[in-house]
Amino acid sequence: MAHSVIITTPMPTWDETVERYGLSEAEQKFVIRLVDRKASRRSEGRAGTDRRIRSASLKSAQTGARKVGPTARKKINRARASA
Amino acid sequence: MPAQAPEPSRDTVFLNIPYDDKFRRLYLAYVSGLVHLGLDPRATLEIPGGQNRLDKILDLIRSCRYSIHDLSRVQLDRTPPRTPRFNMPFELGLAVASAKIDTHPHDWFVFETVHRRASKSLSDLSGTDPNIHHGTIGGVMRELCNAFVRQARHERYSVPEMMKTYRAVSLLVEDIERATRARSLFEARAFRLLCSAARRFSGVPQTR
Repeated sequence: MAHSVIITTPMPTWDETVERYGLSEAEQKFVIRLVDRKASRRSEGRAGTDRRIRSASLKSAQTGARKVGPTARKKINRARASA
Repeated sequence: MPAQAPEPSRDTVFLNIPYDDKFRRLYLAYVSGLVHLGLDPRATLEIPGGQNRLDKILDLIRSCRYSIHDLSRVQLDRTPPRTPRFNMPFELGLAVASAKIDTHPHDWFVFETVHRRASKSLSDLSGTDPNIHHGTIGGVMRELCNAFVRQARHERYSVPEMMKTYRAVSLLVEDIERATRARSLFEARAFRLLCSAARRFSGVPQTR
């Protein structure tokens, strides 16, 4: 009984989404800010730079380095330059 | 089962999947894929605790137009006493009964990771072809497309487009976890924010 169903109803709008999930004003702002920020960073090719900075800094902290090593420093600088 | 079934909301999909961290990527794939297709995922994690949970699960299934039942988790878990997960096949049974008894239409789909395993673990389903996703994100998207075909603007609903939404949503997970202080993504508020973010990302018509 392999079957597919054909959906004919229109796509829901953002207002319908807000209503469906009962998003508060703060939640709406949170989602819009988050999604739009990520989308704009992605379009500018800057997505993931925050993560790379955090990752490189964390790695240095985890290894107990008193100062950040040259490779990590390069990574952080490169990420910060493009952020 | 109450005689009068609630009127099912159009495009609502009851998502019956295991709630464990190993399934997290596929959970995100289901949510992103369904939202991208313009569908409205519903799950038992939206149901508040307390009494009559079973009644509420049944009501939720009956209020949905479709249901997806992922039977991937049939193995024993590691926590003693070691048991398989019965929730997914149990809720599949509720959905099948609901589809047979209720007057409202209800389409149900069985998703699995491994070929022919469902026919061994649940031989009552003989004659039903499960949608096999092989445990991959792309596989889930492909099988969602196979199960649901949108009539209008179908060119937009390709697996690569769905993967874009998945990747975008998975980038938001950290922020959502931080904002909700959720212990896992399998919590009501995190689920709600994931769905709404996926909807905004997938480019549904927006009025604001």
